[in-house]
Amino acid sequence: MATALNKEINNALTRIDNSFTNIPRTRYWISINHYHPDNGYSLFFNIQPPRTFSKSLPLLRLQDCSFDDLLVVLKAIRQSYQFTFEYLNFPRQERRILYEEVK
Amino acid sequence: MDYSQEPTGVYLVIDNKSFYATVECTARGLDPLTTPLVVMSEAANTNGGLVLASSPAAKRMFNISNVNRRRDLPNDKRLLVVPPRMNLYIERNIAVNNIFREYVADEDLIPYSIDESILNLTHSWRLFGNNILQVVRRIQHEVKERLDLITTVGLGNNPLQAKIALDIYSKHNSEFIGVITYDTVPNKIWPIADITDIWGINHRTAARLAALNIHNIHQLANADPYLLKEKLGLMGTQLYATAWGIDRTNMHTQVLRRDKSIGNSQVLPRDYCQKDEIEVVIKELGAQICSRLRAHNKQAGGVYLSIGYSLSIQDRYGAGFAHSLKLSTSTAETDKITAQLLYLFDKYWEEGAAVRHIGVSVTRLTSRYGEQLDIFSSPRQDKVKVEDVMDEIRRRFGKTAIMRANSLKPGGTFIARSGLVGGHSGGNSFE
Repeated sequence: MATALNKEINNALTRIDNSFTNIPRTRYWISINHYHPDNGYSLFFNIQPPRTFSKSLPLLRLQDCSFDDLLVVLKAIRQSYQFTFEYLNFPRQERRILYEEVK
Repeated sequence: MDYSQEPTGVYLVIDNKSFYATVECTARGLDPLTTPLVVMSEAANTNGGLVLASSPAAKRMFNISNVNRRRDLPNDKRLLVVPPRMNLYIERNIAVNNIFREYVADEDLIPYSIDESILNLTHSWRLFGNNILQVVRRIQHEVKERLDLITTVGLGNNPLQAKIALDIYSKHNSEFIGVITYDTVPNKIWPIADITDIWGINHRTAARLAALNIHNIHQLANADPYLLKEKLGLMGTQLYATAWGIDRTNMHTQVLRRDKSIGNSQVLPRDYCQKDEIEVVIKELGAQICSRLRAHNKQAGGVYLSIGYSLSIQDRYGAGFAHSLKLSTSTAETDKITAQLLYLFDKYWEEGAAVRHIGVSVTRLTSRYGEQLDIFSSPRQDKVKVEDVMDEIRRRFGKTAIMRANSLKPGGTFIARSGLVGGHSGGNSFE
C-alpha cells in the first residue's frame, strides 16, 4: 500500500513539475474533490493566466482511497510545493483536519 | 393510421447529458449545469486544439459547439478548459450501462453510443414502480446518485418514438424527459419544423425529399407511400414509417453484419512532404489493419488507400486521391497488403505534395481458413504465423511491446499514438 501511495505521490509531483511554468501574473492552485463515484478523491492542477480562460489538468485519481491516505499524499505534495489547496465536497470535520494538518 | 397491428412496448432512449463535460465537471466537484467547461484535445494533429465537448453553460454563454477549435474559444476567465480522458469516459459508460442492466435483461439493452443507450422496459418496468414515469425518474435518480451523471430520457412505444422524444422534447423539459406515443404522433412528430432534426434524415435525404416537394414531416406523412418507394426505394418506405412513428425493430433479433472492410485513418500532426515519411505512416496503418484483420479471423482480397492533401496546396493539387485495387489472392499477411498500398501511393501521389490525412482499408473480406496456393510462389504461411505471434505479444504486454523498426524512422506516429483512445488522450498516459 505504501509503495502504491509513493508511486501516486511521485506521479503527482512529476505532473506538477511538467505543468508549472511560472508565468507572470498567473494563478496556480490545486483542487481536491471528494469524488464519491470513485469512493476516493480527484486532484487537479489549475492554471488561471491573465485575460484568458483557465485550465484544469488532472493530477491524481485516487480510487478507493481512505482519508488517512489522502492526508499522506497531500502532506507529501505540500513538502515540495506551496500552492493553495482548495477542498471540495468534504464534511466539515474532515475539512478542519485538512486545514490543520496539511500546512 | 391504424396502429392496432403495430408492435407496442415501453422503450427508453437514455442520453448522458454533455457526457464528457459532465464527467469532468463532477470529477472536479463543479455543477455540470452551471459551470462553463470545455473538453479540448490539444493533440499534435488538432491544429492547436479541438473541442470534443462543452457543458450546457459553455454552449449558452459562449456559443461553443463540438466542432470548434482552440481559436474559436473566447479569452474569458469564466471558461474552464480541460484535457480529455477517454479511458475514464469508457469506464463511466460501462458503469452507466451496468445500472441499466439492473432494470432490464441483457437482450433488452443496446448501448447505442458512448453516451446513449436503448432500453426495452416492456416486460420489466412493473417490477420497479407503479407507473412508467416513476420508473424513469428512478433510473435517472440512480445514475445521478451513484455516478453523479445527468441523464435525459426519451420514452416511446418503440425505439424510434423514444429517440425522437429524446432529441426534440427531453431537453426542454424540467425533468429532462420527453414522451411520444402512437396517440401523440400527429402532435409531437408532425409539427417538427426542421425535417433534418428527425433521426435518420440528414441533409442529403432532405434534399431528395425536397425534390419530391416534401419539405416537412407533415407532408412526408401525407405523401403517397408507393411514390416514395418508387423514387427512394426501401428508404422511402422507412421514411414514411418514420413520419407515422412506426418502428418494427425487434431488439432481440441479432443482426448479422457481413464485414465489408476494416480500415484506419489518421490526421497527421503536420504536413508530410517527404515520400519516406509518408510511406512509414502507410506501413504503420497497414500493419494495424492487418492485425485487426487477423483478430477478426479474416483475410482481405482488396486494399483501399485515401490520401488527403494539406489545405495549403489543395488549390494546386486538389483535395487528394482515393484508389483501390484487387489482390490476386486473399491474404492476411502485412507485407503483401502494405506492398499494394505503397504501389497505389507511388502511382497516384504528386511528387512533393504535402499530405495531411491518410486512410487505409482492406476490402473483400473472407474467412481466414487457409492459404490459396498458386504455382508462381512458395507457400508463405510461416510469415503469417510470425505476425500472429506478434499480435499475441501486443495483446498481453501492450501495443509498444513489439513493433516494426519502421516506426522508429522519422515520420512514424505509431509510438506517439499508442496511448490514444479513438484518436484522443486516454487520460492515463502522463507517465
